[in-house]
Amino acid sequence: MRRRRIGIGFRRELADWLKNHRQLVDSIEITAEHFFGFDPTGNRLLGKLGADFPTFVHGLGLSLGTPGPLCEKTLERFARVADMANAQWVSEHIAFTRSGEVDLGHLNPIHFDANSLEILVDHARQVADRCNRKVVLENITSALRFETAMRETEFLNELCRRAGCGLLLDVTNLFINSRNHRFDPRKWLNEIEPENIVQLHVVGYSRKGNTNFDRHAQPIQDDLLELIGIVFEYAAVEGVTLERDEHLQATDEIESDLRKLRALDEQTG
Amino acid sequence: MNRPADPDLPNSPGGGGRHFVQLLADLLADPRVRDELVHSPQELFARYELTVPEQRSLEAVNMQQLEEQAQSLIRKRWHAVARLIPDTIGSGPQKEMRSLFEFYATRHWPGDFRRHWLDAHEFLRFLDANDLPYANAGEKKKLSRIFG
Repeated sequence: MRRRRIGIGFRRELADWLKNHRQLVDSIEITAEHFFGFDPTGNRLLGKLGADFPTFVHGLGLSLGTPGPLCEKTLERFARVADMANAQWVSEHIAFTRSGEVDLGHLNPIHFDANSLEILVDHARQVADRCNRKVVLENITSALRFETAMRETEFLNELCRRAGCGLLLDVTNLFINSRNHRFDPRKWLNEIEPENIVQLHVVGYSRKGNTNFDRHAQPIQDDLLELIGIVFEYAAVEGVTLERDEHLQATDEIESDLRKLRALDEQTG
Repeated sequence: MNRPADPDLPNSPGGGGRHFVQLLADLLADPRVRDELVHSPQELFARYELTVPEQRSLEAVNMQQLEEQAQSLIRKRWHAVARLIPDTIGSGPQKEMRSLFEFYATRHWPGDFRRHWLDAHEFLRFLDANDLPYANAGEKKKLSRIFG
């Protein structure tokens, strides 16, 4: 019996495909920034997605790891998208995308220490309060890793405990980090409190030379699927989102990935 | 480096770690700051008022990883911009276009939720401002309609 909501990250290029493949998609993840224009077409789409599917709203630019106050305007827009989409929960990253002076536009790693923990806890609570929804936070992949006294897993557990949030475990990011930085992803997983894991992100990894990347461009590979299965066995995950951003015209690959995930969900019970 | 003037950005940070994150952002944004970390780290740490543990952490940073992370930011922007203005990107030799973009991108960091469109728009303006004959007229017109 299937129990997890298997779905996709909504991209406008997939709108027509989605109409004809409703039976493969249990949930939709909406990227908040894609709707920050609040034009009539986008607003209608948000409302329709919220009416047709259970939705999760995912943010890219709140920069929760940046010290100081969150950007009020971004937070207001984020909460508005969550309301319009009737989101079940909202999510962001354990990362920073900007400092006070420069906006890097993409996710960068934070230093796992008590100071960063304070900042993340405070910001996660602010997002939960403003959105009036549960917050789940995502692990990122990064070429850069700091030597820190606190392990990443310890940091994540403490963050969930103190902020009252959940973990959006990006299994692909875990897989990529474990390959690039040479650690055992199963050991990492076993250090995470299973009840913290609420949602998963999955998509095939990309590879160049000996380095793995998260380009969101590939179908799920067998070794990654095996790790997803291990996570399914380990934690009572509520939602699983296929996060594809490239080669969206390859809908056969997307359908195949969704079927694989649904089959895995049934097998792991 | 071009600092974004977007009023949406938080500009009144407070609390510990501010200078560390600021320096890390500048290290990732600007190759000249990365050079400084290699050649005169103490001056850099003093300028950003880092604590001793923060200094230790940056002294232990793997420079190859730092460079790769910085490159990944430019690479992601390049892929996004190439999708938005393919005719411009395809109008010159690939290696030269990539090199021009890298020069532009390490000096301009657009801060807006439409950042990829803004990035493409600013790159077109950069090409024109430097009399480089690559900006596609149709793509310029399309982006000018959005940003004026």
